[in-house]
Amino acid sequence: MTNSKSEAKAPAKQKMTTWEKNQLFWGWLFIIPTMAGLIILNLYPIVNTIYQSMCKTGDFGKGNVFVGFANFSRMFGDSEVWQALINTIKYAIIEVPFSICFALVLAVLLNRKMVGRSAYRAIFFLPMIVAPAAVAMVWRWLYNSQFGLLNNLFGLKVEWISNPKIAWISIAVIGVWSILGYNIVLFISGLQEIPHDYYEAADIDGASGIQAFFNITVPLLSPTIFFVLITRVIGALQVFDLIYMVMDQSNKALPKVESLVYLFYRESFDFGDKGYGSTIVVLLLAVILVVTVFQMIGQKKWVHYE
Amino acid sequence: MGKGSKLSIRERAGAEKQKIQGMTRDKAAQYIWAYYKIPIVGAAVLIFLAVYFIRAFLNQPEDALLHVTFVNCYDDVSENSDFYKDFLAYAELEDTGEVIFDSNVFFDLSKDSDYANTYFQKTVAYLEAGTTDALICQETNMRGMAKGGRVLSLKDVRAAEIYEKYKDRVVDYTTKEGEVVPVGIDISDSPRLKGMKSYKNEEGCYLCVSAYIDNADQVEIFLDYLLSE
Amino acid sequence: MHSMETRRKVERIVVHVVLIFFSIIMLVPFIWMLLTAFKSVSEATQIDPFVIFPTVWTSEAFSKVWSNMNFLLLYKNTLLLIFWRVVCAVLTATLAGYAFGRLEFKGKNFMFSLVLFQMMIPAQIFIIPQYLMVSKIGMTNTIFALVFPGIVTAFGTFLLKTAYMGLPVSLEEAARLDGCNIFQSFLFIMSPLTRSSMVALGIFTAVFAYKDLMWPLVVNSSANMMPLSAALATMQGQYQSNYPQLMAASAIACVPMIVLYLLFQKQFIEGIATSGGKL
Repeated sequence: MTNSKSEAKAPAKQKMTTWEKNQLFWGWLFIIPTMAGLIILNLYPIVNTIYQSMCKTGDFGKGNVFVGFANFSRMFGDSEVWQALINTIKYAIIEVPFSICFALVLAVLLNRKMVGRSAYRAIFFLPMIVAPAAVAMVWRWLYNSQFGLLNNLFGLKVEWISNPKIAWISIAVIGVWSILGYNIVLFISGLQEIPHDYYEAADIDGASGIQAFFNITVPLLSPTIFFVLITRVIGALQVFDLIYMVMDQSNKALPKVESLVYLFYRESFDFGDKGYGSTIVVLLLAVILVVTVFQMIGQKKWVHYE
Repeated sequence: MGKGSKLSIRERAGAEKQKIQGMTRDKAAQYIWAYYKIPIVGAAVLIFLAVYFIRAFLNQPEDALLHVTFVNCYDDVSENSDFYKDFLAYAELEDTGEVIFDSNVFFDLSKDSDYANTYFQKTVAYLEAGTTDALICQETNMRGMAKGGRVLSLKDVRAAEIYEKYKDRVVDYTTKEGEVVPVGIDISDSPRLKGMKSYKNEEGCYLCVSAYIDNADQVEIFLDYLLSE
Repeated sequence: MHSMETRRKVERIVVHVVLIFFSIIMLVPFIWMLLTAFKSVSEATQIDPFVIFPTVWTSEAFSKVWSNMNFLLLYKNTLLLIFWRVVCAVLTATLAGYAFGRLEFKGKNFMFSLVLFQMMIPAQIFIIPQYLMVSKIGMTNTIFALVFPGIVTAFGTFLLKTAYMGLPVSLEEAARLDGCNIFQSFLFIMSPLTRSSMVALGIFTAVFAYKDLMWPLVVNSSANMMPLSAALATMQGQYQSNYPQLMAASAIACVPMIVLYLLFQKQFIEGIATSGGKL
């Protein structure tokens, strides 16, 4: 190990190599705990899933049979899987932009110096810790077509979660609602790192809050926005709990709402067909991978690090 | 180069020492905490983990001989219950934690519910990991488990003795493909379950063997116990 | 000047209106939970006509739940679970985030894509294999078993990497000229600047650890090693449709989280003080 004082005395080329060696040493030392943990915890399950996707699951204690790509060809002909893929993407298209936009605006507002800021922040934190059972109950009641608050309040007769045409939107609304608090926490933390000087300069120039938002906040917050975007897209494409908790198995809108993970769950757990369930996971993985790679390429256009 | 850096670290350490020695005890503690809290916390965590692991490995529990999951059981079947103690006496086992009756499982496979879903996943995990050897459940859940193929076909060699002994109590399940599989043993009239509140409705009570079991000898003893006076 | 003042005032009012509107939407389930906890069993499940406010406020559910469940033990288990998960997650993610965000070394990009890859897999497939690992080493029914899947975090590593990438290069160069090696510049110069991200990760980890039901239920079946979430589920299983009791228990379960949040909120906001002057 060397320090940079001695490096400074060394010739230019050698200095680079020592610096590189240092980075290699510390870099690997720093990532080893995380990488070791992730490999121990997650590598085997992932490899196993991919292997399972090529097996026919044996029922009643018969053991698995390797079948190659049979599950995949079955999946390509399975219209339910493609419908679920469309449902999942539709869900993500609503959940991701709305949850990010609302959260961004709210985070900026919550970051201002004003009366009751702490109270507001606490309020936006509370929904995160409410028992999922309470959340599901409330939304079922809000959406209830006969006695629900929404229909009674506006005098409507809408079947919010059993009409196949609108059920997916109703579910996505719950998705936006439940993820808002998390996004706000991330954005507030990102906002802490924007220096106040920028806003003071903008204020002197007479820029309005909205101008400052678009010209200062959004560009400077772009790394955080990018992070939230990547993780939310992944999260939204994996939607499951929400659908399971709010929609009954007998709900006639279910085919237009069920997601890929929902199908995977049904195949793997209810039907005990782990092989086919794993095949669906592999499809989901491929979709997420493609979307993420495109986002990674696209980031160079709009994400600014200092 | 290496020499230079060593020296500088030593110098730095010396300077720090002098700095700290020049302070009062409170100040020194504050100073050390302010500058070195992350390495201190990190070292403490590492030491704790090492001690913890060594202790845990030394006190490792034995593998259970028999693990039975009671689905939707509202009675006490824990180590303190008569049901449990009677079984130990029947099987001539010592009370060393080798027999586990888990009744913290509540689900109904005909209905959706968030908690029930979690309990169902727990049961599947216990079956697939080979933790649990047998399930005590009612008809809907038995058929639900059979639909997933996670219970052993009693025609399997592993369950041959059970099948022979309790032929007249075997319950069949017909798969989607029309295959008829014996999956459960009817224990609704078990004298040992008589004193319980659970499993009393028209759904009856059944015992299923895990499809992931190696050896069903202990399950057979448990079944003998359930059906003996 | 005058118009500027009025504009400011209008802006302030608009901000409050927006915030109050969203606050109400966000609070509905929480208020619902509290109201249900004070109802009688029949009122809680009645939907025609729907009862919003209990006709008779009864705290019976609270007293029943409090006497039936050993909340002190549950709080202890939950706090231990949260504490270890937060310490492990923040520690490992800070180190890895710094390496991924600030250093250049061979294999970095491949390793980081592995981190991202883990996030793409639905969590449901991990439970059975991870449970197998814990049970193979005979560690079920321990605090370690509860903490196990949260020892490292792909999400947190990515979050901290983003935070480190946002810091200016000049800072570290100055540190290096002062004779800091990489570890020292990480520890003394860079890591304090990402405090608000660490706190955000801490909040996330704590909330997820607190809410996680599946994992504790699977690994810790013994009643005195359960955290709150699993104990609540057990209660729900035993008293199926007693919603007032269930909601009362959930409300009592929220208390430590609210206390923790109020304690750490200050840290979160004060991130400004340390990182504000970075230019």
